[in-house]
Formats: sequence, structure tokens, C-alpha cells
Amino acid sequence: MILQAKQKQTIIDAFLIFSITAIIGTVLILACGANPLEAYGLLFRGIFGSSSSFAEIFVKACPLILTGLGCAVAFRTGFFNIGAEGQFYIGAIASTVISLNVTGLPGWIRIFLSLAAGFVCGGLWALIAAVLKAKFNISEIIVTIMLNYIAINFLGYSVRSFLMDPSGNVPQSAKIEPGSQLMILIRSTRFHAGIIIAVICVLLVWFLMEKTSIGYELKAVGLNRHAAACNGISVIKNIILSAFLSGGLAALAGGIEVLAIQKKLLEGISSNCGYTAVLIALVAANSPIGVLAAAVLYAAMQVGANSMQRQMGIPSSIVNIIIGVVVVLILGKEIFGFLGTKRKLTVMEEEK
Amino acid sequence: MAILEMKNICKSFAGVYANENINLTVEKGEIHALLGENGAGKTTLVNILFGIYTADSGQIFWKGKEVSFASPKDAIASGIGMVQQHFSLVRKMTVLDNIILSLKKNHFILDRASAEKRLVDLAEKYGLVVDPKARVCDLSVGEQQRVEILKALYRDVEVLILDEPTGVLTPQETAQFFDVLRSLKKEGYAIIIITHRMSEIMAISNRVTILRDGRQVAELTTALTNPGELSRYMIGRDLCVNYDISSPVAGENIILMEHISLLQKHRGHPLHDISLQVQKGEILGIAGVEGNGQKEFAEVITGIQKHSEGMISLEGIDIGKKSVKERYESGIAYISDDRHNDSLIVGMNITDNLMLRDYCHKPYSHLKIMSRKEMADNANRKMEKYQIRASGSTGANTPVALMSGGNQQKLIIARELSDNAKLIVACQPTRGLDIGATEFVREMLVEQRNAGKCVILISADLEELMELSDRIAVFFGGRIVGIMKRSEATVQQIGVLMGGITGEEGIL
Amino acid sequence: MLEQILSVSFLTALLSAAVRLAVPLMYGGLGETIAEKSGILNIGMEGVMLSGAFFSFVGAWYSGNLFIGLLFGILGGVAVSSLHALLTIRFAKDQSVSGLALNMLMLGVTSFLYKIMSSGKSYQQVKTFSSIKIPLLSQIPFIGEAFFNRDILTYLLYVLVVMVLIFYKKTNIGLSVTAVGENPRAAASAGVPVHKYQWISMIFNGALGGIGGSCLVLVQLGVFTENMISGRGYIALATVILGRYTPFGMFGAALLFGAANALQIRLQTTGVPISPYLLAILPYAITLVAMLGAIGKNSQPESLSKPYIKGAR
Repeated sequence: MILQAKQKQTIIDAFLIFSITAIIGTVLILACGANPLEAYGLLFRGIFGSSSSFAEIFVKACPLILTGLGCAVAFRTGFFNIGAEGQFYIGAIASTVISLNVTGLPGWIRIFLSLAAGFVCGGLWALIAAVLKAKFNISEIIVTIMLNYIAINFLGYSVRSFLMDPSGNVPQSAKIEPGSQLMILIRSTRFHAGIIIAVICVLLVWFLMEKTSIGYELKAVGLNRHAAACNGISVIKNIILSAFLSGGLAALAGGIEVLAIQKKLLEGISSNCGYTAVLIALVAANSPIGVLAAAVLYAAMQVGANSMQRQMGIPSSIVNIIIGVVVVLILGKEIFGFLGTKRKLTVMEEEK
Repeated sequence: MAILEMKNICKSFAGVYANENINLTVEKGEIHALLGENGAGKTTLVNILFGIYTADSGQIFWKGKEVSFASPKDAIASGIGMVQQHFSLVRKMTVLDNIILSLKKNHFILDRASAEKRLVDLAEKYGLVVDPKARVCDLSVGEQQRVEILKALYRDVEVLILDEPTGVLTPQETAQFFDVLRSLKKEGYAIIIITHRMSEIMAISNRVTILRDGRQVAELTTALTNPGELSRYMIGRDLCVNYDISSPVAGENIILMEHISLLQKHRGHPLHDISLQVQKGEILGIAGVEGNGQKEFAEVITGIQKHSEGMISLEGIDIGKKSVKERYESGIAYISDDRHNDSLIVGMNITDNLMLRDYCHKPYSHLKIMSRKEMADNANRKMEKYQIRASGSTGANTPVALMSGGNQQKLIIARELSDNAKLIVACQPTRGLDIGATEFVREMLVEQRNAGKCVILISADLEELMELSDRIAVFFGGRIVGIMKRSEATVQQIGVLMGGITGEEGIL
Repeated sequence: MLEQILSVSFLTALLSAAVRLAVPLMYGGLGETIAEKSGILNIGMEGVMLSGAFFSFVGAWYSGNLFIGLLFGILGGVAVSSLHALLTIRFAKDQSVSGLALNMLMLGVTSFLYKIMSSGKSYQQVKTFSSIKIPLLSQIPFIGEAFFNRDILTYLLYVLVVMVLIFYKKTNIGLSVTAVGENPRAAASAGVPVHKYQWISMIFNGALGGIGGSCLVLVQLGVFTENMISGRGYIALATVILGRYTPFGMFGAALLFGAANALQIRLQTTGVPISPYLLAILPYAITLVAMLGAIGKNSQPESLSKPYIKGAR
């Protein structure tokens, strides 16, 4: 009975959050002097109107899915990885290096090697923060943010020096050969093979977390580190593993962005997905399928909002407002208590 | 005239009486000891006095006037100070800063110079040597305690309550501490000291009030009593042992500990020179007031903490270097006294918690992939066999958080008592359980013993130990101060050992 | 080329640029120091500063008065920090998630409102605060020009840094707040109102962060552009760590970041072989090393980012 009440509460909360967000969205649209119905209509048409824009949702969702997945894996284990942004770029750099330098092999092997290299390098990049946490108990939050900036600046350095395209004078790498790009799967859209890789990763992570003993350990460590240790589970090993996986997934996003979309390495290609991923993981409650859904939803909003901006002048930054509001409302759920639904602040206040 | 009188104090938590009609009077210039086992109600009583709790009924008279304190701040303002077992110090701040923190009479700009002078004078007066400029984190525990005492004295308290103050001190520090108490007493301070250490009660107190099970059983003048009488009051009469365990199954030694010591930073030696052997088919009871090294003992055996000196072997093999997991696989099972922090993962359900030890072993896991079916079958089997009840209709999927304490304990037992277990370390296994669950747990332990397993039963419940153990060892101050066969043991004798008195002085 | 760099005029200009670039950081860092000393981690400083920047622009633009702009900037910063305080103090939620959410939210809000405000209009610019030379001090060779020929917000910063330092070192409330950040339970049992002091710290966090954002608009650029804080809010977090949670340390750390930034810009024009990007990595790497070096003698407030819930044990 208690479980049912909890589920009921979650549904009420979700409904309230959705309604408040919709109201705020409508108010914002009105503030632009636009007609909300028209705007929502455009939103839908922007998303479902053409196959290319519908496919664009998944193109935009791809990096979010992978970085969000990485964050979810890390958060489940209690490793607060804010470094997805930097890990993304490390993956991009590594993938570019392998892709440009490993020639003479069939395209798909090159792709595989580039992405694998990216994954490993991103994993190692995250590992720095994990080791510091495991061995010296240094907060990974600040460390991963610092590593972000180091990675971004290293990228800026690399595309102006050893990776710079010799045939040009612009800070970007040489072009990736078509043979080792991730190809477009649906004509006249940008839907590429990397998206399939992202979805496969979702399934793999889901399988790992729910069906394997590895996932079981990660979950145990995340829920109660001390009890896990008292029962023989190695906390350090699991933090390091989750950090490596987390960094690797974010790096995969970077590698795919280079090989599929940009087809070369340059700055500013993450569109901040590393930080958005943290929020996506939260909204999805760290579940892999939830991350997929949330990322796709967010990307759909972005595509629709772009359409609203193009045709009605409603700034696309409305999407940032929406997700910010959603997360704030999730955190501030207790506010709903003032609206009548009974609520307890913390577990500790309940009867032990 | 008594400076402090507590009359007919009653306090209950969730329907259970922690204090039932307690009376306490303390005079100026008196050291009054408060004696009792764990759960007797001593800490509750002083917490009421100090304003942390409010009594359900009863009166407190302070200097003749009736008072009621709503918070520690109020109590301190009236002149009652307390040094709790867990210190309230800001580690990175200096001694001086800790003492002047948030004082009412502080000005906007702190006057550290005159505060320091006042502090040094106070410290010298009572022999509480401490460097005002030292950071608390650099001090030993004994020195930190001095800071806590100075904190109270600095606030012009007239009564000082000390909750188990000597547990963290070395013998030398304890002697110094007693000198401090004596000079405070001479100055007219009234001191209430909660302790279970008989020698200290005999050495330092004027009177002693003894609590048992929330009630007051005696108030004695120290000079007119002795440890034997004290322990008799503390524990109750000699109990009839009506649990008939069949005679011990003779077995080889299964676990051997030689000169085990544990050294912890800032805490000295929670364990010192422990040597012990336990046989198959034996229940070894460990008696002692909590906090005398029993928990560390359990953790050193199970591998959660590694001992600093000495040797532990299981069936002849040195397990000192083995991890917790390896020790479990060698056959050491653990029922901890702190279910929520040590044994259970509250966010998981019954099935998953049952797997916490064996999730990586066949048949639950093959090549890292878990078999949900095996796990569910196991859960159903265990729930049936051990009668683990889950509230609601979700069965094995019930989150552990929603289970009662008794059922949680059954879950832990179901998990730990696998066929593989050779040694079971049970720490306060029946604490907080209702009668039915308690009986169940005790039956399980006896069953294991009769099946030839080894059980180390750590308990603050002497009745339980007397009922179940083949032998009883008594812990005090991190050492084993006595070990005897159950047939030779008396409650009185154990009680005295628990209070740290060895040899003839304790026995009446 | 090396002589070029080491010449006095180059270094003087560099120091001046470093200070100029560092001032917004310093406001952010000072605000964040105050928050963290009371135990609250505000990763949302980026959002606080962005809010301050935007609303200072709005205030200045519509009123024509820079001080009204400054006031609006302060209020904008306080609003964001108050929301963070509500979520982390009152509701005891995870401080990092709240901070990141607020960054995202303010990015959206400020970009959105700015687009509406500026749509169709021609280029919007406000006058900026002019420099005031302090007599005598500004004539000190090398540092005089850099530190004492600045605008009033910079001078205000100097005063605030000193005041904050004195506050924590010498005052009764300062001691109590420090205790709150280290061991709130001990502070509470000494009678310190833990949540109240945390709230007040967050208000100051918002005000100072708001001024920091306002600096960019009202002193340096005169315009607002979307996402103009560009990570300075996160760098402010680093300056607090590097500065060992003291105001003066933060000041020095921010100066270091500013200098690296200034050097980065200048080196690009002089064609020196050291990549400015590698130089830019230096302050962050130093911060990491500082965190490492802090092992054992950790100066981080012990209770930082742990929510304090009354009564629970």
C-alpha cells in the first residue's frame, strides 16, 4: 500500500511539473508577442513536418544520449562526473588522431579503432578524477570541471599545431576521409550510423546495469558505500570502473561528432552537451532507457524551437529555460506541499 | 541543599519507557556517578537535564526553583554544562576559537587577547593543560576532552555532566582527569559522571545512582558500597538459566587469534593483545559494555578492519591478508550490530539484499551475467524458511526500507548462515527486536552451534549470553579481562569484570 | 622576442590587462568564497554572474543611469543565489545539480529576454564607468597603473576583499559562520543559527556575483551578449580552491587566471612559439596540483556541499 502511494505521488508530481512547465512555456511565447497555438503548431510541424527535421532530432540527440548515459552510469555509483564536456573533446581528439594516421585499413576497421581509441582516452581522462577521489578523497566535482578546461584548451592548441590542416590556415584538423566517416543512413537527412551506435550503447548499458553482477556492484556502491565494503565489494574498483565507462561514453560522443557530422576536428563542437547531460541524467533518474527518452525529448524540443525561431522569431533559448525549470521543479518538489499534497522532507524524519 | 533535583522524571519514545520515575539529587561539591548498562536510561536522563529532550512528566529543580530547558543553550545559560561522548568541536579551528564560539558576551569584534588570558587562568586553576592556539585536529583525544570541559567551565556552569569520559583516555590521562575532577569538586562544582567503570566509581564518586531498564534501582553512598553490590544492582539478581544446551560438541579449534592489536590514528589501541581460540560447535559469548573494543574485534575478524599486530588463522590458515570477500568465502559470516550502515543496502529490495554476498557466485551469476530466476528462487526459499515477512503484496521485491527491524534481521541471518559458513560473528543480534524475532535469532545461533559451526556472540545482554554461550569472555578497554566456562560463570562476576575490576576486589 | 616580452612596458600593460580581466573573476570568487565558507557549494555562479550581467544591462539601458544598472545587476544575482539557497538549504537537495540547473536556466532566461529586448532594434550600448586615477598610488612604477587607474567597481572590490577578510578573522559572526561551514552540528549546539547564516551568505554570494557580471557590462564592454560569462563562473570556483578559501588567496589566484588570459591574448599578436592555449592550461593545472597539495592539510570547509538537516543524527 505504501508503494502504491509512492507511485501515485510520482505521477502527481510528474503531472504538476508538466503542467507548470507548459504554462511557463506558453507565457514565454506570449511574451514574444506570438500566438501560443500557432507556436505549438509550428513546434509539432517543425518536428514531424519533414523527414529531414524528424531525423534531425536523432542527430541532435546522439551526443546527448551518450554523454547522458555516461553521467547516469557515474551517478549511479556515486561518482559525480561533471567532466563529460572535457571527455567529449578528448574523445574527439583521439578519434581524429587515429582516423587521420591509421591508413591502409578498411574503412570500418578505421572507424572502430578511432572510436575505441576515443573511448579509452576519454575513460582515462575521467580516471584521473576517480583516482584522486578514491585515493585522496578529493571532490571529483571540481576536478572534472578543471579537466574540462584543460581538455578544451588542449584542443585549441592541437588544432593550431600538430593537428592543423596543412593545406589551410584555419584552426581545424585535416578532413577525415569519406571512407572512414560514419555514413548517413537515410538519404536527404543527416541520420548517421553513430546514432545506431548510441542506441546500442543504451542497450548495452541497460544490460550491464540490470543483468550483470558488475552492474549490481556499481549500484550497491552507489547506494551504500560502507555496507558494500562490509560485504566484500571493492568500492575503489567500482568507482574507477564507473568513471572509466562514463568518460568513455562521453568520449564516444565526441568521436562520433567528428566522424559523422563535422568530418574534421575543430573547436566548439560539443554544444555544451557535457553539462546538459548532467541534467538529462537527473531527469531520467539515471536509467539508461530514461536517458534515451529524455535526450530524444530534449532534442525534439530543440528542433521544434529552432523552427519556432526561424518562422516566428521565438528565441530557441526557450529550450534552456524549459529544461532548467523542469530540473528546478524536480528538485523543489516539496513546493508542491504548499499546494496541499502531503509531503515529507527527508527520510530521516520518518519513523526509522 | 541540593543544587539540582530531578523528581519523578518520565520519558518514553515510541511507547517504550526510557526513564520511568527517576529521581536524582546532586549537591554542590559532589561527584555523583550514574551507573547502568546500555539502554538503562542514563543518557536520556542527562539529555533531559541538558535540554536536548523534554521530559513527559516530572520536575527539575535548579537551585530550588523549578525549571525546564528547551535547548542546550538554555541549560548552559542557567549553569548546566555537558561533555558528551561525541565531541562538538570544530576540528580546524583553534582551541580558543572553539571555546569562545558564539558566546553571548562576545562583542562584534572578538577580543581574543583577553579571552585567551581568561582561558589560560581557568585552565591552570584546574590543571587542564592545553595550548589555546593549537588546532583541535592536532590534539589527542584526551586533550580534546579537556577543551570540551574548558568550554563548559568558561561558560560559568555550576554543574558539569560527563558522559563516559574515560572511555577515550589512557590510564595516565585518566589519573590526570581525576585530579581535575577533584579540584573542580573542591571549588564547589557539582559533577554528574556517567560511567560503567566500577573502579572509577569507587575512586572518585561520593554517591552513585544506578539505573536499570529505565528505572532507578538504587542510590548509594560510595564509601558504603563495593563493586560486587554495584554490579548486582546494575544487572539484576542472578538469573535462572533455563536454556538447556546440550553439552558442547567437542571440536577442533577453528579460529585462533594471537596477540591481536589494532592501532587507530588519534584513538590509540581499541584492541590490545587479544589472544583467543574458538572451537567448532561452540558459542563463545563476548560480554562487555559497548565501546570496549567489541565492534573492532568483530571487524578485525571479518576483515573490515585490518589488525595492526598479531595473527589470525582460520583452520590453520593465516587469514590476516585476506580481504572481506575472501574471508567470507573461507567461511566467516557477519551479523553486524548496525544493520543499516553495515549489512543492508536500504535502497534495494529483499532479493537483492539477499544476494549481497553471493551475487558473483554460481548459480546466481555465470560469467558475470546474473540469473534473475535463481535469485528469485533463492529469495522465495529463504523467505519461507526463515519466515521473513514483507509488508504489502510485493513479496521479494519489497524494498528493505519498508521492513520491520525483526524481519530485516531475519534477512541478514538468512543471507549469512549459508552452508558455507564456518564461523559466525554475531554482534548484538537481538538488539531492538521483539520477543518473537529474538527467540528466532537465538534458536538459529544454537542450531548453528549444534551443527558444528563456530559462533562468536557479542552481546550487551548478559541474560542472553548466559543462556546461549559455552564460554564467556569479557572485554574491557580493548582487552580480554576474563574468560570462563559458562558453568563456572556468575552474573555478578561478569558484571564486575565488565566494570574493569579484576582479581579479588570485586567479588563480594 | 623574449626581450619584447620581458620589457617593462609589455609587463606593465600585461599586468594592467590581467587586473582588468581578473576583476569580474574576483567578484565571483569573493562571492563563492562566502558561500563555501558557510558550507554551500554554488556551481551556479556562472548563472548568477550572467543574471547580474543581463539585468545590469537592462537597468542601465532603460534608466540611463549606471548605478541603477548596478542595482539591477545585484538584484539579478541575488535572485539566482536565493533560488539556489531555497533548493539546497530549505530543501536540502544536491548542490551540484541545483547549480548546474540554474546555469542552464539563466542561460535560457537571459538569452530569451535579450532577444525580445533587442529584436529589431539597432545596436544597444550603454555608457560605461570611467576610470578614476588615484593620485600618488597610480604613479607607483609598474603596479600603479594596473591597480590604481581603474573604475570604482574595482576600487570597491579592493575594499570588499579587505572587509571580508577582517570579517572572518576578527568578528564574532565571522567565527560562527566559519564553524557552520566546518561542523554545522557543533555550531548548532553552540547556539549558532546555521540555516540563517547560510541564507545570509548566499545573499552576499548573489550580490557579489551579480556585481561581477555587471562589471563585464558596465565597466568593460558596455553591451550584453548571450552567454557572455563564458565560463568565468566556473573559473571563480577554481580561484576559491587555489586561494585556499581565503579572500586574499582568491585575489591572487584570480590575478593568475587573469594574467594567463591576458598573456594568451597578447602572445597571439607577438608570434611567440609558446602556444597561448598551453599557457591557458597552466592555471587549471595549478589548481589541480593545489588540490593535491592540500591533502592532509585540507583547507576546504569540512561540511562543504553536505546539506545540514536540523535534528537528524
